[in-house]
Amino acid sequence: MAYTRAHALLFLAPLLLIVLVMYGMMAWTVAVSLDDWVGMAPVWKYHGLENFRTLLGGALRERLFTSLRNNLIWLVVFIAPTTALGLFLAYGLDLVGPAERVLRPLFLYPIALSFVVSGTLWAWMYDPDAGVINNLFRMLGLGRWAQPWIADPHLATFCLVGAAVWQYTGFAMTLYLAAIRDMPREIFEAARVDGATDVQTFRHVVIPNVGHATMIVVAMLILVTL
Amino acid sequence: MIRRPRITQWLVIMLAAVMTAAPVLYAADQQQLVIYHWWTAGGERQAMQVIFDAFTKKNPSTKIVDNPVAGGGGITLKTVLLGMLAAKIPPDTFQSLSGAELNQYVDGNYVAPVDDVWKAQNLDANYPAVIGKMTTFKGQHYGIPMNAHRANWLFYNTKLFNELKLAPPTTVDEMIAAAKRIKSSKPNVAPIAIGTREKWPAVFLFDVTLLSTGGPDVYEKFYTGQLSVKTAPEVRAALQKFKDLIPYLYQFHGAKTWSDIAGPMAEGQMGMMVIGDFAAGLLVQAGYKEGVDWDAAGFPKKPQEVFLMIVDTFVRPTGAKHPEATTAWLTNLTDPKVQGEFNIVKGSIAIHKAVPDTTYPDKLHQEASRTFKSKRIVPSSIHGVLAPPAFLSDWQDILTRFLYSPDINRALDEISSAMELDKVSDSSGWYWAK
Repeated sequence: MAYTRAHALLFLAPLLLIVLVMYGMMAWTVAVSLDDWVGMAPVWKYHGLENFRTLLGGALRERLFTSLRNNLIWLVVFIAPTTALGLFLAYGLDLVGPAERVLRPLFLYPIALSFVVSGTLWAWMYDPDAGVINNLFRMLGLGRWAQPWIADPHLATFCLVGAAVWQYTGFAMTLYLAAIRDMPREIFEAARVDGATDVQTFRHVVIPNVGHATMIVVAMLILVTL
Repeated sequence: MIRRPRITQWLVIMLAAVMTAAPVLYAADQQQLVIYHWWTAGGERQAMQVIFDAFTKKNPSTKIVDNPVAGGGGITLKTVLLGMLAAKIPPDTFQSLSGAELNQYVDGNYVAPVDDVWKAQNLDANYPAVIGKMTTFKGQHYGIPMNAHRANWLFYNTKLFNELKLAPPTTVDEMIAAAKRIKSSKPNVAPIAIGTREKWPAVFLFDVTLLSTGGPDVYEKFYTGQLSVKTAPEVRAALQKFKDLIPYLYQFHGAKTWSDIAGPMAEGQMGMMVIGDFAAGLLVQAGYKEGVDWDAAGFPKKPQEVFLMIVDTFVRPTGAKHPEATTAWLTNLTDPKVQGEFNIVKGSIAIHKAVPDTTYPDKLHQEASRTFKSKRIVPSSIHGVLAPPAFLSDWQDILTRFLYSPDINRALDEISSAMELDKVSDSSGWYWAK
């Protein structure tokens, strides 16, 4: 049967609809940001750049900068350890061979938890009085290491980052494992023949070749962070 | 491939169409009440069932389509509802708070007046006047309330107070004095229990402080933007007293929610807690006995004891599909018997004057009912009922930040700019309308 242009349009129609809706929403958001809409029902009253002026110079300035600073902290403190740990674990899993079948689901398990569940779990663990972490320190006689964790405004963000690293390391690890598996085995054998240890193989063979995977991992983690 | 005769094919298609269409048409014809609310927690669900049963008894042919959306105070419900309301497919009734919250729906033309039910049930006489004020906008009533929680209770550990021979404080100064005594005789006990993980308990604590230092008139004026915050001495005095409380607060309050600290308070690890009467239900369910483990006193008692009220209403949405069901539902809510039974399970008190104090099985609610009928009722600011919800969310941030770095001048600046940004005094005209 001959495919005509009508067929093409018909098959592309759902995609075009999605694209239209997506860009339509973005345009709508820009339009709303230039509006003076207070309250529930949509109000279309042109307000110019007043909202942006309040954000950057007026009452909301401090809040904006706090939010931006928090975002920056998350981007740096969350992504780097997650990526690095993911890479180490992936290489480690590649080395252990058969044990990988048991260990990989174990590491991947946290990502299956919803944020509500892992948030509640970690809130209980971080609890300064009744939480596992502080009580473990006290039991081992290291009571002076007990911290207020999430009750301390300076520590709280980093506690949350810790919980997020726990949750997403498995994700980074899986992507890196796929990348390592993708590499031709001859490179590893060549390195072994040359007398490279595991660490040297990691430094000289694995790391230079996972650039592509790193890009994907970091991109996905940025999406998650923001 | 077997070629089926054409006529059989058509018969099958028509039969399928009729079978799908019939129940749909039948359902659309049957009288329904599509209702949205947020009472999903234990105790609340059962309480709703009480009203549903009473409604079904009076209106047996109406089917109730219940849509509970979990999230206290309706935070999740609003998100769900706004989409439906903007798309002009409202439910037949939904739950809202009163005051500024309800006013938002009125301004958006999403709810219709309920004066007919109000007059038919003679609510001007049967409900306290304040409730009328909290539901009247532009001269008309827009919501039918059915229960009230009291926000200004001081819960305290009975055994601790008996041991130290302390009387329940009646002002914030007395509370500070009691806290000092607790701290000096029992250094492991946190004198004032508070859990600010969800931020709003800080507002509860500030509310009673403001009531104690300034009184109910100042409270109402503050939350409706009638005070010039930076110059009014009452606000500064309240913040100063609030600052004095800080050394006696439970030190890890940022990690706990209000329900996390209720138990420790009843166990004796913490001394006093300022919270609403919903904590009583939690304590009783956890097995702590009133009068043995914990007790509660209205707070503050000076300069004037007030009932700091949180009220839930149901509304009549504009363009609802089953208006008779809506009217029947609203009328049902005003029945004193239904209110009594509902509130025993829910843990709040009925607002209809015909419901006697003896309806409630426990001391706390009997006293609440007595106070409701005899003392001045002041609407609590929580959830954006006096000041609009946008201000309240900024206010929670300001207060929790204050707890960690109590700079009064900076706080006054923040309050002032938040009130300006959220247009508090502009949108509070309804409260002072005659």
